Amino acid sequence: MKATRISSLLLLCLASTALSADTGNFDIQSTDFATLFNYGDRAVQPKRVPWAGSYFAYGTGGIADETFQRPSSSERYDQTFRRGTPLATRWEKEHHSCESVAPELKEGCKSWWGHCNAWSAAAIKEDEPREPITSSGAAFSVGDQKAYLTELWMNSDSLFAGDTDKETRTGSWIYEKNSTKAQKSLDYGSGTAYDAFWDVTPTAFFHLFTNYVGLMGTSVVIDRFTGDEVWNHPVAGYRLLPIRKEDKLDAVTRGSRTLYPVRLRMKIYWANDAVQAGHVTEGFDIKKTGDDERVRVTWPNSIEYEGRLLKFTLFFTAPVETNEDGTKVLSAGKIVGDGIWYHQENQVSNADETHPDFIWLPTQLTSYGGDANPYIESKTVHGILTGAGTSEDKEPESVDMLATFLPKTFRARLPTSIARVISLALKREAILAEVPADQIVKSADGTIETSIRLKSKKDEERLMSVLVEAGIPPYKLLEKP
Amino acid sequence: MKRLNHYRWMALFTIGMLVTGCSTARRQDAYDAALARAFDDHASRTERAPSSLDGPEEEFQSLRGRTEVLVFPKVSNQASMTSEETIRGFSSPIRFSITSQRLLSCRKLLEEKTSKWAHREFFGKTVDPALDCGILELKQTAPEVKAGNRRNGDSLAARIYLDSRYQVHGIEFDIYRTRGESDTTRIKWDPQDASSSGLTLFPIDIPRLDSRSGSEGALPIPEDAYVRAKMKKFKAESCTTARTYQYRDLYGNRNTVGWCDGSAWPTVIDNSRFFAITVRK
Repeated sequence: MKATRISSLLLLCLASTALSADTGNFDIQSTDFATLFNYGDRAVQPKRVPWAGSYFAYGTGGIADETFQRPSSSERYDQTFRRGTPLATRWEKEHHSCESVAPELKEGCKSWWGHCNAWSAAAIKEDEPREPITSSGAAFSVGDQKAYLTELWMNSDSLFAGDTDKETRTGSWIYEKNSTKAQKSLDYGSGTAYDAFWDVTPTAFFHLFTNYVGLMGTSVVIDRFTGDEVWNHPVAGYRLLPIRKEDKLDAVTRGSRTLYPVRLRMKIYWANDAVQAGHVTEGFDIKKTGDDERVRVTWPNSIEYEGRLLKFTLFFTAPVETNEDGTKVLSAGKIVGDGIWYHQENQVSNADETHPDFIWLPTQLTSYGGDANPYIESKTVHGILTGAGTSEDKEPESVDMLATFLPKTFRARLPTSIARVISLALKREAILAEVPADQIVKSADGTIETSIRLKSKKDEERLMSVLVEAGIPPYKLLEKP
Repeated sequence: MKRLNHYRWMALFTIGMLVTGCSTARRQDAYDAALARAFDDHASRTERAPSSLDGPEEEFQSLRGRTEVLVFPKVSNQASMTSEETIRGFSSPIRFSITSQRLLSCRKLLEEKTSKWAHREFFGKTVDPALDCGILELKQTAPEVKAGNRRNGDSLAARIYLDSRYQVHGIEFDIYRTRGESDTTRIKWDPQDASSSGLTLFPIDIPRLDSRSGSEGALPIPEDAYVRAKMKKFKAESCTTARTYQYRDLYGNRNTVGWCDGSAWPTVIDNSRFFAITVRK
């Protein structure tokens, strides 16, 4: 059961990513070490620093949480835009709380499941709500606004780097490459648990941070828990520490080639989700950090941002020449190979708090692929934020359809899987619908009957063609009496 | 995200302090392996033959005008609370246009004194003037993203500066920030070191040059009914034989590329994130 639990937790926090977790989709824009090291005087933050927020814990009901305010954010949304019909609240309580999870998952759910991925994405992509807003006749607190933005970003496209294996608890196997645990194949993609633990590699990490946070001024999200849990946080900045004489390790020659290893030290900082939902961020300034190895943030407080020092060695094809105090690189060879983390060559006992397990960048909101509350809608939320009101005052006219499929369409699939396949086909054509798995009936002759509740009657006409185009043609499709 | 109470934070802090002081047992084996990989990488780069692509290079001029690419993002069932079954599928396609802004001999382009482009900065010292040079602009055309739906960090457009050997010399990104503001990031590339085209923020890519020695084969097209239906609808490119090859990017991710003879842009790109196919003009 543990494997399932850990896997599920990972998946929960990655719910937003409409792609497989074994991928890295970032490109590297620049590989010139001197340019990258010197950029921004080595202390760089995104052009818009992500804000601190709440991860809207499932343990307290997600955005239906009533412990920090009444009515809850979802309830206020329902009251204002759903004429009091608790669609958003009901959905949140059913899907983003710990009530409906299996008993063996409850403990983990209550302790740390939440919207961490969505908050991270929202904190990067959206302006921080900083004041209460009145819209459509209702007052929305900062916490409400953050709750809605966070919920929306449960569905997003993203770029992703780093294999991950959340099924195996960190142990001595991370230093025993040939052990059974280390050589375990991942459930997805290629590679082993060992490879998944030790990536993101130092070379990839260095390039991603310096190119995206640095050159492009765009924050990325890191899973700062290297091991079997997922702690997503948006990056607030980094500082490369000066290269000291002792950091330039002895050159190594093999045949006609010589490599020059250099140890680098980099402090990275991220926004925190340890604040109340309605917290307004005071800010972060990477320039106020120093060239020492301390990472504690002391201004304006240590709640909003925190950091970590990472050490790693990169290999160069020519010597890295610096100025006297190592604060500026004058010239360098090309970086080759993956590099090596300091804690990879020097065994530590708490490797979970070391390098990011994976790095991702939210790109755009989507209507599919994640686990967003379908009753919190982007148009309405952004209408609230801009004070433009919304046209969603009317409760949509829904319609229940009954589809019958022949056995070959869904060979040997579970009702939950069938529901997901149909839901996906509808979502990608922007048809909002519910396909309750408990209303999928397999008859003795193998035909499958399933209910599809369309949120809008206008989608009724498109339903057949969308299912046919998706390769899951229904044998019959009727409106439920 | 996991919550830690005060005591657990203190415990972690204490452990952290202990760990700081108890790094032990240097793993010489790990260091040696990393060093060996670096030497291998170094060797493969220095032994990499310069481009000798006859086919696509000849077709480079046909990039003039506009090329369209249909991209199907891949969706996996990662929100699942159970692990009973993994469902993978494709979401509705996004369309991108690739429009040539300039396409002429590098020598002539370098003589142009306009400040509209960064051609001198990018091509200046690294391009062979005897080649052709192009400035290609990439934009998402459908679904249309309305101005009000733009978010911080969104890519509005990218322009790549490449020569007819498909080596990228530089790239510009127009990036949306907030409240209608955007800025342009210009990044110079070392064409000898480029591991990919730099089109990160667009799910379109051109392959690594050194990987273009693929084998003849059929285009790698998914057996997905939805994808096939959309390909037909949008008149996606097809051919009976193509040059196909695979490469791994810096992160070890596998990309499969299919390139129809006579095409100036890779016909098909398939990786774990998306499937992309060019559309007939």
